[in-house]
Amino acid sequence: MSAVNKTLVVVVLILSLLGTACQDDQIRKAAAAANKITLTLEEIDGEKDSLLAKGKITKAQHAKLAGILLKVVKANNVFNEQVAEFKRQADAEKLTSFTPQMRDRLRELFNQVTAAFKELADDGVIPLPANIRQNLDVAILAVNGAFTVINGVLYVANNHP
Amino acid sequence: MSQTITPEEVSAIIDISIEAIDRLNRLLAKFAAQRGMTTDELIEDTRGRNQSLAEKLEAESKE
Repeated sequence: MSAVNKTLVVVVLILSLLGTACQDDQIRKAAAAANKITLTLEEIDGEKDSLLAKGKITKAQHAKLAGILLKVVKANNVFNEQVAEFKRQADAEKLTSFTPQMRDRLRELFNQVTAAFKELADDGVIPLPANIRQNLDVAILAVNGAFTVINGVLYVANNHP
Repeated sequence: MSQTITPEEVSAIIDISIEAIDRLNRLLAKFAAQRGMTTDELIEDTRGRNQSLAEKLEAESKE
């Protein structure tokens, strides 16, 4: 990893954590993480289109990236809808954090998001030549920052109820 | 061991880095905008963006 990328990893992780530091409930953190993932997927989508417009990837590569990206979007959408459902439930029952059952379900769905995202990184981005994928690498690092936050909610919180 | 790179290569590396930092800045600005949103607004924003993105990608993946 280049020095620029190492710096970006640190910057993204710190800013991701700072960005959610004032959010005091787990449900909000989960909703914010899903939102960050979507915002980042939009950037990856924009970069994919930019690479095609510049002639740096073929139409076939562009379509392949679109297909893999779509899987991540769908998985993240399922996660977001579950967060929405639990938010309604939490409001009705006046909960400020997830129950263990809610966390288990969200972990299961979030694992599907991370698996789809890993496929995007491994099969979609890494096979591209290093000199054209730096912007995609940056976006992937940003998603990893959001993953760190949600892992804190779904895993660390479970150990300290 | 020494390596030599041409001025063109240096320029290309700088261009790529500037572009990457611009993209990162844009992303961080969007992240910052989250702070003023309620949880329900975040969920709704994610839902709307996911739907638009999914429709676009669905079409592109078939091209």
